[in-house]
Amino acid sequence: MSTRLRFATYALPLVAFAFLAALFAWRLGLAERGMTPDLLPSPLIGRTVPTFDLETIEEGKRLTSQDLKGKVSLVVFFASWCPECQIEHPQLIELGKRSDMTLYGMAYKDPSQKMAQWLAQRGNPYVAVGQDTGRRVAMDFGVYAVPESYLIDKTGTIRLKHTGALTADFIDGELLPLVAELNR
Amino acid sequence: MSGIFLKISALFLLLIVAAGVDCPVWALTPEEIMPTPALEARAGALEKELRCPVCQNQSIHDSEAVLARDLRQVVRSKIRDGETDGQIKAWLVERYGTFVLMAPPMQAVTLPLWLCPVAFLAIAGIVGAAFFRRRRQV
Amino acid sequence: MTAGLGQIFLVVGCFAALTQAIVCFVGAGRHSDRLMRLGRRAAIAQVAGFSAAFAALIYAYIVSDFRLLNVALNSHTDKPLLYKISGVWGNHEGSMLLWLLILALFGAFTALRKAKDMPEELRARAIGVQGLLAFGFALYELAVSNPFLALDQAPPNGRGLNPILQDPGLALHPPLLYLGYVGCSMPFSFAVASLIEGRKDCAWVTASRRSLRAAWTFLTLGVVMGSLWAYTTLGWGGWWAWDPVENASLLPWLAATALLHIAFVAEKREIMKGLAVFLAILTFSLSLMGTFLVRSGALSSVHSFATDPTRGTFVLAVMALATGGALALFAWRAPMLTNSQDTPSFELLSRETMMLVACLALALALGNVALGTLYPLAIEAFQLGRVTVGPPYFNLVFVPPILAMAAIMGPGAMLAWGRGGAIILLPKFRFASVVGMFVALALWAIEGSQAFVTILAMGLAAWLFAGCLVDAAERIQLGKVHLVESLRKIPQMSRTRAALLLAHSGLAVMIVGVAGSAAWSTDEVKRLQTGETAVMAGYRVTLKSVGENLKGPNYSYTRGVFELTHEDGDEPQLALAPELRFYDSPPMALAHAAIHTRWLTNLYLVLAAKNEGENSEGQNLSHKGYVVHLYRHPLTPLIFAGGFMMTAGGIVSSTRRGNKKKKH
Repeated sequence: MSTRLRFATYALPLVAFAFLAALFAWRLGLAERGMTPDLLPSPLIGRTVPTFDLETIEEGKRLTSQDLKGKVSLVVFFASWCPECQIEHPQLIELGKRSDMTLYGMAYKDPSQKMAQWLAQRGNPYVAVGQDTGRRVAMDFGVYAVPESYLIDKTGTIRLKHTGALTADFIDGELLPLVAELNR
Repeated sequence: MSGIFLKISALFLLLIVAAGVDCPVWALTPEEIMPTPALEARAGALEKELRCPVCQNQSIHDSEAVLARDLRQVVRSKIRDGETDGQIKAWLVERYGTFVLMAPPMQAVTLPLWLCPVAFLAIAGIVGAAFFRRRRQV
Repeated sequence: MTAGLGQIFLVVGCFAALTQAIVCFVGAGRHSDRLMRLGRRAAIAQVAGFSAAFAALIYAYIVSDFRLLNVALNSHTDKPLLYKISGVWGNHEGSMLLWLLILALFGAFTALRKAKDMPEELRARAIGVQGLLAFGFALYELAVSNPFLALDQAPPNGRGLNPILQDPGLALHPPLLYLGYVGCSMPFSFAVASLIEGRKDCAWVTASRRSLRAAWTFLTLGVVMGSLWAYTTLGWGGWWAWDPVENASLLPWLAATALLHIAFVAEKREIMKGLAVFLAILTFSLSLMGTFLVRSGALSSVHSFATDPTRGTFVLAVMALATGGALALFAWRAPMLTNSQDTPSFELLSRETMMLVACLALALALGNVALGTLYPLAIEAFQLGRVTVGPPYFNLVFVPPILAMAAIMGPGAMLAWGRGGAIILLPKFRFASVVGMFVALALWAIEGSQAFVTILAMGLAAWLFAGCLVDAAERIQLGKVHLVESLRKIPQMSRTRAALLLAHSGLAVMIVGVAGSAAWSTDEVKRLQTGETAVMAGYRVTLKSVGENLKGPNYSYTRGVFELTHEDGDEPQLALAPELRFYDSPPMALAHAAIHTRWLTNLYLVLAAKNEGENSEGQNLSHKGYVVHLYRHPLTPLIFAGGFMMTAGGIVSSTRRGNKKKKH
């Protein structure tokens, strides 16, 4: 084996390590921008909203997937026992005041009375809150944590999903620009 | 460095709270048990192949998260309705992505995962041969 | 006050580490005994600093000083004392401090030893490298993971430790593992020192041998205990989940095992020196990588500490410098480590070849596990979506190399150095082969060809075990002399050989356990009400009584008392009492299995859930009762027994006194 080739072989581990370190650094960079490894990409982006027909937390009313058509809506899966939901609630109150989007809630593993009380205490930004008993609708949406928010356009297509409490960065950086675009 | 510090999803996902952490453990509920042992075995086997999106390194069979229980119920009712394993997996992948399958499928993106061990074997062979050839001839 | 003191001690240790590094390198370069001695004193100062800091943290936990943020986040006055103390290393900052302390301890140990077996400059430079490592991590600790951060006002009570960690076995587990990981820093430092000096010999191997063997032993014990703990405590009957952090502990173990053996060859035969150096670098680098993966948030795992990319960046930087620097040195200097003209050669069939092939098999296992662990990270980094790699993949790519290694271990121990063609004639070879084939054929007859992997594994394990038995019998001249004489020869056996036999037969036992439990475990689940009986796994299981809301030390629990009678009636009746435990701070629930061991089989009974007729959403549930799992785990105790045997082998190998070169 020629000497150059031999020397090159000895340098291989260093080269391999450099790649590995770069990989780690890149992954860390992503994590710092909020893309932590436990967040799953949603296969539902770009697909039509799952069909559903649920009771709401108010007696006698219903919330169906048809109600979402014709407007830009934000569907939020949340619960009264979830601390992150409390944290994001003020942001949702603000979003609820806007005219370019409509907010709908989905109660996740939460009895209607409890949920109604919670909203009465903190303000209710939602036009309606579906009672997803059995959590089948949540599963159809691919919900795996609370809170989760889905932005749906006028044709009923899911355009954006956010897992975890809504942050100002996300709202200003991604949500509102997309809402503006969808309303054009 | 690792100790084996188990943080069940509850602690790890403090920020993103998974459902039901403050409720008692519900692994397999009495509701879920299948009518025959053969069906139960099939359900168990299928559940072990499906990853829990909340406790992300456990199968839905082992995980105690509420979502895992919900998914187990779905799997079991689908088995009772006569669906095949393939159909059930497709239903889950449609909603949660291929993440939910424990064994990575044979796709382009996972091809290196299957090819690299073979490549490693070849490299090992070459290294071994090189070592052997370099020894001084007796 | 504790916060202030602890911080000061930490800074002292950090400064001492830097001093140690500088003084040692300068001293070695100038061949100055005075400076080198000063460097060794700095090592002592370093260990004193970190010990004091660690003691301060322990004190804070014992007295529940909640003004320290770390204590407030991880402790609680209700916790039993043992777990208050183990809570010190149950979090990121405290465990990192323990990491540092052990790094300092190993350095100090090397500094204080009588240097009969190592040149002074080499030792000085090795301690210097150790000092640099400690300095890097001490900076990290001070900057971004300081355990001594104080709150303005102490909260009334702490947030409590994860209840799962409140187990005696698990309290010990991290220190054991850290002793293993961090112990591998010593061979690393010595190898790097040797590269710096441009040495062509294996003095570094001799100098770090004790540390390496001790580290390997601790690592083995740590991993086995973690696995045993998972099995007995977590209530799902599993003992290894191929979780990324578990893998991060396995990778250094595989590398350390390879290093142990190749370093042995290098020292004895003066060949494969470059490979030995590389393995020394690799082993500790894998420890570092494990540290990075667990603490940086680059991988998602049930095991990870709270993720923080800033911390990750810092660890990555230290790792890049340490590993990158070492590998750069390796690329530059290692080509000089060629075999001299006097190096004895070796035939294709010789111990050297077997050791090399076994090392390659370990490398394959290591590479595959590393691939599976890091692949998701790579895919995410390139934003190609989300891929996860689970147990089916790992089992598929890990088992064949390990079995190949098991096949080689037997002949490897029997062959002579240099040449060994006549091995087929050796009685021990033939005996072991017969036993192995007999076991394989018997299993084939019973189980059929679809159990191919089980048959292969059992046959190889039997081969390996039988080979070790006969080897041992030969050495104590069993049958040739009086039995008492033979027994007296046992402690006289060469330590290296005794360690080999213990460790190798331990692996064989473990393989039997793994194969058996994988092939023949069963799991049945039934629903029982109090007084009901069901037939599960060949037993009539009766739920005699259930106690609810019982009070434990820091949990409340439901306890089911079961009676099990074997259907054939030939076993005594068993009373088992599994529990379902509910913890308060933080709120959590855990199933605690009742395990009964009989003739190498475990019966594993789990009380999984209770049903009060209505679920939390107010829906009526039609079936009442308790869900009960009965697992049958044949041969599972052997998994852990084998692990302990390997640990025993490691202990025996570490107790060798002096540097006697014995021929075997």
